[in-house]
Amino acid sequence: MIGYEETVLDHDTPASWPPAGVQEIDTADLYSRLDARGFAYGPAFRGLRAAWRGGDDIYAEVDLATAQPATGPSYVMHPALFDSALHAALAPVLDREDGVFLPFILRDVRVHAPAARSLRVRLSATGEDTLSLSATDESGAAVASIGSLALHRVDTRELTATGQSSRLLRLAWKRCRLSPAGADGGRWAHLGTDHLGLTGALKAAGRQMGAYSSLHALDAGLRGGDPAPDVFIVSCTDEGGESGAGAAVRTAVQRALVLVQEMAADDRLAGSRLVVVTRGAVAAAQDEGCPDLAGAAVWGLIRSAQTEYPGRFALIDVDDEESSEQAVLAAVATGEPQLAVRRGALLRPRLTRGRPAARNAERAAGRWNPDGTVMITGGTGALGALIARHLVRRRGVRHLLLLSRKGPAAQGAAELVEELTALGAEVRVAAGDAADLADLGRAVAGLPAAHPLTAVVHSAGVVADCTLAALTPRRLQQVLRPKVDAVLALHELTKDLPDCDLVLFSSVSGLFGGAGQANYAAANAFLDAMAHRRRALGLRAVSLAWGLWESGDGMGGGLGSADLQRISRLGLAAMTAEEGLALLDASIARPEALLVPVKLDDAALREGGPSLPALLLDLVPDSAAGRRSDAGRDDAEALRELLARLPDEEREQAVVAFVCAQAAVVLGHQGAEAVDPEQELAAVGFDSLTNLELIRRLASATGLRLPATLAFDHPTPLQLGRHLRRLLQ
Amino acid sequence: MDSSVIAQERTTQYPNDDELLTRVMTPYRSKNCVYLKEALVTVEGEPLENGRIFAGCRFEIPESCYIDDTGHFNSVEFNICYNQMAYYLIAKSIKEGLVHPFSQWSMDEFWNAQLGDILITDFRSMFRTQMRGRFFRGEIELVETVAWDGSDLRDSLVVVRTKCRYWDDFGGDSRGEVSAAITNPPPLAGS
Repeated sequence: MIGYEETVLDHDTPASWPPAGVQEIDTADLYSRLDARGFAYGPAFRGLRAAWRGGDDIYAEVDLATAQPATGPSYVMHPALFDSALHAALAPVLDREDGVFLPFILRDVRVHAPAARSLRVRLSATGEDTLSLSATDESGAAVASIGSLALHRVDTRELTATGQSSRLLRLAWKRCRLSPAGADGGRWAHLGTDHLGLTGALKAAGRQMGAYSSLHALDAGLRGGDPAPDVFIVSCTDEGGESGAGAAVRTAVQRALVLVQEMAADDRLAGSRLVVVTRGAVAAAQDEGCPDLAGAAVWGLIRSAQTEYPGRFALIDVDDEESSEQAVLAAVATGEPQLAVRRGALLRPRLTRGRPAARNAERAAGRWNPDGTVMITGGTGALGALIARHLVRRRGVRHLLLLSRKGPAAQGAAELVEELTALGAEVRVAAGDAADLADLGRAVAGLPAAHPLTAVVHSAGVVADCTLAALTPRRLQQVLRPKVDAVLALHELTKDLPDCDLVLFSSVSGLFGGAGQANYAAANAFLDAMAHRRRALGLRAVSLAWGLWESGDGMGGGLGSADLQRISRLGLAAMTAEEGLALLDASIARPEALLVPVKLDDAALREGGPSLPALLLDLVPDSAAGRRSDAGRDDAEALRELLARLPDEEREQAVVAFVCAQAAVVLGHQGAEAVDPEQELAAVGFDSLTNLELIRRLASATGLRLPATLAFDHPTPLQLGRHLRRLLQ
Repeated sequence: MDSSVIAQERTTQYPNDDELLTRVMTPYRSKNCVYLKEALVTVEGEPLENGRIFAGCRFEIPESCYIDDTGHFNSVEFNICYNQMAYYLIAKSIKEGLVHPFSQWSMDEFWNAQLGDILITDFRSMFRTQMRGRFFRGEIELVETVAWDGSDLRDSLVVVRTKCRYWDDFGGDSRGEVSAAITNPPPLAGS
């Protein structure tokens, strides 16, 4: 804005400020909500301080962030201040379902006094999506006016923000045509009890295969001279109903863990691939009910095994159709890591951007009873408290039941109750174990009939990260209990309450298969399936497979910078509490049983690096996806060509430098020189997880099959490089 | 209240149980094979979580049960002493209900398993300083117990990881890490 009109107008200036009879608009988290909808304002532009509504008018106070000079060389009105003045216009339309609104056409813009640092703004509706604006200083003297400000609706999907953006993604199973990847040949064997009758089906489809009834039988066969099978098929039972499901999940997940550990530890099986087949363990369509809940948890664990041991494990979920039997054969032969077979067609999972939010009518039907009580498990923890505050402030929840192990004795519980009560809520705190139905029963027994249970937010959870090789039944159970057993108990508690919503806090780890998080992935994959199961039973539930939250809020604590960089290579960034809560709002009463609220690292997506999970590939620009699929092959060829060109005495040095460069990437260092080739990797911060990632990178770039123990056997980059060079010759 | 007091409150000691020790040593064919004379089991905090469970033991080997006097504590004796400590610690854990999964076993189930079903799978011993090996002390710590459910693929199994060491008043020092598998364990409640 380069000129101004020296006129003092005194129109419509209210006598008092804020004017009498107005209602305050909560602007505390306006910028996070805007951010969640695709408007990313930097700190300089976050100038809206307060807003009020009075009739059709909005009043607002805006000022410049303290670091901003009021005038630049030629400003009569600082752009950040002017922009902030328009933000008040966004607040009332922010929650509209049909998109977000941008100031679009400005007419009759006048500046009456230059160099303002703060403004009192009045916005008056002049038509549908048009406003007028007048701004004064603190004394009421006119500073600026806009005769007509037209807002333009923009579909949020069009706002492909650069940088990082928080998103509500959906899991879609997409039909794919895949050609055999050569696995059709070779020796196949079924391992364990054939619960699903696969051997017969595969043989009927023309596939010859052996069978070993147990690992002991396999060991005896191999000792007796049997060649190691190229492909093992393992069937999971489909007997995991709701009753006794906790034990069924434990048994099934332990069984899968035994398989993974045997496959990884037995050198004779180093060239074998293991295909785990389930029936009804994933919901390949919205209306599928995931009858095999235990199989769902197995999917989570095996997804982590796929991350920790790329190329060794595959998952196939089948339906009951006869036409699918032939398709199983094709599914195995594709070499694809995860497939569902439905009516003979192959479907693979991909995350996609969410459809527009539910229509108002659906949303109203999905609303929680305003007189009802919302129970939050883990309610007195950091995350529980955050949710409780949010539900009271933003969703008008008036009756809360906070459940946690220590209950009222938990640290900060009394202060939290006081705070929530001051916000107008009636709060009960109960001590109990969410996995114990009797505890749950006691906790809800005291709820008055006028305030029945209307929703449960299950946010409790425990992590006990370790690699699959070190995972034990105990560490499994530590993580499964507060997720699996608790959700089963919550389901039991609410199964006769058709209006009671279950909001399950799951993790994207269950879908991506986090390395070192197989137990957590199993637990969360179970939650995702349970939401589908409840919907199939006519009950309400949504599972939110959260991406990473910034630490301190109970979901992302304990992560170091190398961990965050590792996660960034997965295409994700950490979201703030405000972003997370805005996504929580956006996910209530949606048609999907499973939603994936994440913050995407758009730069990592564009780069399309090899660590990017396959689930994200449909969000990757085509060019990057192409680069990604070729990347491994190209790297391997480039390395071999480089070595072929070099004189023999320089080859070792080149491979060592290559190892140092890969180690530097894993540790988040800028360049290879940051890694000393003669220092043990363990001494510079490598742990079991980063070791695995280094081996994955080296395997991808060299085209070699490398054991997980590589970095233990060759602990320095120099030793690793020498070893790789020998293998590459 | 300082942490040492808290630690003391959570520490329980089980003095030598003569009757149990005698029963545990019954399978040894002759009296001169019984090297373990006394054991004090200590439980600090919650074993396998943030605590420890270990047995401090007193040994006497007036003469070796299998070889003429070598003049030092050797690896065979290391192993025999280890077995005796391990048997006692497990038996005491069962009797007093000290640690999962042994807290759910009966003594009869242990007597049935003691010889045939407890198999050492990994044995590492390090001899730092030679020890005369007539009168010395030892300690065994239960680092981890892992109870695997049985399935069509593999029978149920308990894996036990331990650390041990031996020393005497003259600077003798040897240590080890030993893992054992317990096959055919009794079924656990709820599994």
